[in-house]
Amino acid sequence: MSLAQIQEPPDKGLILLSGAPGAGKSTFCHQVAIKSIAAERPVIFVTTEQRPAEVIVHLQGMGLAVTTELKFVDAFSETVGLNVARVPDTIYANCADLNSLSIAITKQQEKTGPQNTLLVFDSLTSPYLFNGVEIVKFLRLFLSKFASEGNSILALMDEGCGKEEDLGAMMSVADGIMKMEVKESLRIINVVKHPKMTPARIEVPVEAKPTIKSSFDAFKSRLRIDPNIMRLWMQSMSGKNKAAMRKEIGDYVNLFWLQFTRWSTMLWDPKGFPAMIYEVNKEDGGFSLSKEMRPFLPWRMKLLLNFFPALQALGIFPKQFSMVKEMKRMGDGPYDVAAKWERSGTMEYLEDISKTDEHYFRILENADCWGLDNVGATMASHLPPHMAGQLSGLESGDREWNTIETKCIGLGDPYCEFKMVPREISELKSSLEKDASVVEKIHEHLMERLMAFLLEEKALVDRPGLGSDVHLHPVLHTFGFPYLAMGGERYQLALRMGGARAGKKVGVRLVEAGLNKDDAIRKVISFLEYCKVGRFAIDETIRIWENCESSSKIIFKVTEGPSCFFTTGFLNGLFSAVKNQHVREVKCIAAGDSYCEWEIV
Amino acid sequence: MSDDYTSTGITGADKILGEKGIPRGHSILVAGGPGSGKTTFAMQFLYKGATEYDEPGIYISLDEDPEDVKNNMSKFGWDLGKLEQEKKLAFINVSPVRVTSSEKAGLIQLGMKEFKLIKLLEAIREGIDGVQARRVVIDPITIFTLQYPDEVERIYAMRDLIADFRKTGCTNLLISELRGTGLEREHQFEEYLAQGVILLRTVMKDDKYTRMFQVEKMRGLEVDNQPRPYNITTSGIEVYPTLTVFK
Repeated sequence: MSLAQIQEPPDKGLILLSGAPGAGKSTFCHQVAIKSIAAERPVIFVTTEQRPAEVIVHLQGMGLAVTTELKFVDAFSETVGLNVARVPDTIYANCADLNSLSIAITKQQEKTGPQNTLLVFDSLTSPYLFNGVEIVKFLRLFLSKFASEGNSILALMDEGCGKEEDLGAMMSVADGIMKMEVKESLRIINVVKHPKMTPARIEVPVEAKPTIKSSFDAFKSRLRIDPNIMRLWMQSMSGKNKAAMRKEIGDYVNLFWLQFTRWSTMLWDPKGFPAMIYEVNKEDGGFSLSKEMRPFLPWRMKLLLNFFPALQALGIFPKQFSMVKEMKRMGDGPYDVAAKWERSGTMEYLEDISKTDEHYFRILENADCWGLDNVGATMASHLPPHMAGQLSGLESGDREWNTIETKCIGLGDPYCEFKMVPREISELKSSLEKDASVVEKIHEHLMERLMAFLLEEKALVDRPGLGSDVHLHPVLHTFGFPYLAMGGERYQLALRMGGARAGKKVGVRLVEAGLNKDDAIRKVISFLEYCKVGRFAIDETIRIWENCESSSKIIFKVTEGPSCFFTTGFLNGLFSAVKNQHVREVKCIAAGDSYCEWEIV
Repeated sequence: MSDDYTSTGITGADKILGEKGIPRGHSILVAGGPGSGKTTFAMQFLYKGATEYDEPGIYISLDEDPEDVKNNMSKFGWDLGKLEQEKKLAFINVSPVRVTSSEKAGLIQLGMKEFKLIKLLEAIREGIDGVQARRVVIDPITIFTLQYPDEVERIYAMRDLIADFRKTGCTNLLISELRGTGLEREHQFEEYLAQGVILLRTVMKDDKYTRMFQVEKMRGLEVDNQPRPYNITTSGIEVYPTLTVFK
């Protein structure tokens, strides 16, 4: 059993989570709340120890961007007598008055519906301190009734702040009990009883908030590379074997899917997400030439890198890539070849405008931006940072290269251009950050193209030189590699939520267009197969062979359990919009299964 | 809702009244302590009746100045003056205290003897005819009963009043003070005569109020007679028919 499993609340039932203060209960319930919102299950959040605004900040820090599914009962402000500006979607209650709590929850439930709501109660401690054992009556007469009507409740309770027997009485009412404690560097969750699973003990390391660098290092330390699979991947990357990873469909995916997933994911965090992609691509650029990866590189590259320090010492290769003529050898050579192999674009080094320590490149037919003409944002997120990372790696990390786009198809230019410099770029942050409205616009643009393809059979992508497909490598970067590298709860959420919203949007549009349920699903599946996302079979379950989200994750064996975050979100959103059904991931290629599978519930 | 029943217009209260409302033509005693929202309850009954069920009403004030009542109710967004102009609502002031206040001698109010049941009934009938009323509120009935120091006389007067209402077909609320708060209280004779009794109670414990709505009696109707929490919100009284009262 994993942490992820217990973070998924049952369809109905009252779960009591107890633990000493600081054991991580609130963080746990925030994660549960976010996951629920990602699955489009509405959440009523009763807060007794913080203002809703503080909870929102915390949730946003974990990746929450859209809060329409989230309703608050503020039982903090009134209880402590804080004067706060009234917030829409918030109802106030007083911990001293259990009636006011039940009334406030009931009123919020009028908005979320009679069933399928998740109620997060953080925490019961203060109502208990005010009302004593009457709280048991509240649990019995209100909360368990609420739960048994088809809702789920996660209620927190501090251990040691009241009488043992009162806590015992509260537990006797609950359908599930979990106890949390921290021991040294371990967070231990004891599942004492649970409606969905057998009792268990789960241990998770207590981690400092990961930075991209520290997560990447953690990722590298967990890495277990299977040489055979890695060799296949390298064959695939270099274009020698175009179906090394996916024997049946091949290792290329329609670039529309790459863009669609990326911008759907971006919807959740337009400000932070692009910077995250940038950093991860940069780290990965350095990593691709690192000791760990060297054995798997093509022999010429391997040889070169092994003797690189010697060649540098002899002056055959420069110690630093400052001069224009030195960079020209890279730009026209390996960089362009690599970009073409994976069909990310066609690269040119612009020696006329480049200067010492200021290099300019042009990408023609950049897969990141192709077709998204003049949407009002720079969008190249794969090649430039990846190259900057590689360059820092080749210079043995003496200097840190950065890059910023100066021209972009997304800004209305006919191609993309970027500048690379061996220092920080002050405008980079604002260049990467996107306005939510811009991301919405880009997503809408993609949606329109998708609808035109589905309903009017218009072409999806028309890229004259490199064709419509792109290699799994950039796809991996969008789907999973950054997630793995980040150890990333946050990235995973963005994928799930982005997928869910996108799937729902597609489903709603097709139903609005007058398609019947089965036709709508069939059309979307045939679109996915057209994009070479995978090979599908739907009967009682949904199966995908060679799913592009998980197929390439097997090269780094760091995942346990299902990890098709976007696909799961997308299918769930689609099925809930069209058929009012939900899907649950049960098998995954990344976890060693031969196909990915979802139950329909 | 069928024509045999009158919706209370109070969110949640009809659900407690068997999803029906008050049987038409019945006289219901609404008893509550100070600040429990009795007048609000009564005005909401009239206001919703006039605006949502096309049932005009009259408010017979035995105590407060109708103008004050109108002003007080504007905080819920109810424009009672407008309803009055549209002849959907009438205010009748038969406050004996006010009429005779200038003729006060010592503790005895001289006008008191003038206030006869017959006059009150006349005023009510006129009011009902004036707006074709289907709902009537007498606020508070306590003042009326005070006119009859003799208990037998008082019971007869009350019985006549209720019988007269029955004839008009109007559903009416008789507002009364609740003597004694909490769960122990004395029963008032009006409770035996009225066809229904609704209690609005506020229980104070430590430093917090608990408001309880309870239908103690409702002749001819299966009701939920458990106390249920209620609230006075910005849009009037709301009763929560599925919730339990916690002390």
